[in-house]
Amino acid sequence: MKRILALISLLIVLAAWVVPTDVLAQRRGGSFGGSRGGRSFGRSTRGAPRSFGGTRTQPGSKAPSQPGAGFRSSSSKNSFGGSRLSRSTDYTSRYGVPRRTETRTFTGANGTRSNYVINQYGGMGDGFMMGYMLGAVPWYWSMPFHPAFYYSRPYAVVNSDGSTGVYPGTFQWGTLILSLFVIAAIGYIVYVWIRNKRRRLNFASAYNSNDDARKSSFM
Amino acid sequence: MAEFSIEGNGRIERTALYFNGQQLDGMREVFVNVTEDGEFDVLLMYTGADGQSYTKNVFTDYLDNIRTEPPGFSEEEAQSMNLLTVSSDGTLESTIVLRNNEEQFGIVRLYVHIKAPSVQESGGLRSWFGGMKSIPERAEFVAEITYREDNGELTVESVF
Repeated sequence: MKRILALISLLIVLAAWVVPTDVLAQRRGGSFGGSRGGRSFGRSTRGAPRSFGGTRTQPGSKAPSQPGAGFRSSSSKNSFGGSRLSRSTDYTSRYGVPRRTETRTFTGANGTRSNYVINQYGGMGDGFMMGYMLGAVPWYWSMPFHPAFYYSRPYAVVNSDGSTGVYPGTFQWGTLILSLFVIAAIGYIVYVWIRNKRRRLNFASAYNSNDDARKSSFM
Repeated sequence: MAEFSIEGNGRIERTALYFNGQQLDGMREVFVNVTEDGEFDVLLMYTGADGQSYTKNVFTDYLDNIRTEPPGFSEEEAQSMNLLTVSSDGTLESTIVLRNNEEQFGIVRLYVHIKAPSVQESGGLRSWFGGMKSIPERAEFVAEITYREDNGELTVESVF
């Protein structure tokens, strides 16, 4: 029974581990990243569905009239995904003013040119952000042994001038804790397996090394 | 007539089985239940020379791939042990029971059940998914003879 419970727990944790947390955060529709204390932007209630919160009445989240701007359009415009911001202040209010800002122009697959305002804060997230912007993410970034695994995808917001502001991904404490839990669970399973194997070997060797047992007909 | 003997002092580690004078090896379990009512079970469960498990009736079946070994206990050691011998051709009428080479009379029931403890084998990954349940078997050592006394009373004596 203990084993079954342990196995079910492990499967649940593994499932949660495999699903990218930033994707979950996007679906949640409240706070982006989902790791900074769980506070939602726009005064929406923590954990409450966005449809029932107060975000639509927020001035910044109002759908802009010009095409290509706004949350939904920015989501489809960015090739690297992870657009969770409706306003740039959502990010800067948490992480402060970027240390460095540069504007780059990228040409899309259909030849359209887009201006990206890249905001760098001087951490590991900067490097990962550039990797995501290049479009090809190495497979090992999705592996727990790579730091990128513990960072969310970069955040993007469509500015009023039509350019796309990009902010580096943030460290996901939830992913780290989950990873540690999974690693600990795997380690525990291996430990139990080795311990049981050792016990069996000890029993068998103790029985066979017994002088009487060698004389006995029983094995 | 075949002769099947059990020699020991009450512990599995010091129990030897003999078939026609040869000491047997690789035994897992021995079960003897012979009653005056006609029950006649003398069964051996052993691991043969080919590694397979066998269950055989000592007096009626051929003991396939059975392993034998040289006598393990010396004469001196044997003196401190008890010897139970069943000599039979597989029928109750021809069966003679001897304790320490003394023929016994008035037996109502002879019951012996000796089982070696099992070494729990690993079920691997399957055991984690509940597909393989291995229940460790404990050692068992019962050997007793029920006699009918002259006055008609039944008495049970332990053999070893």
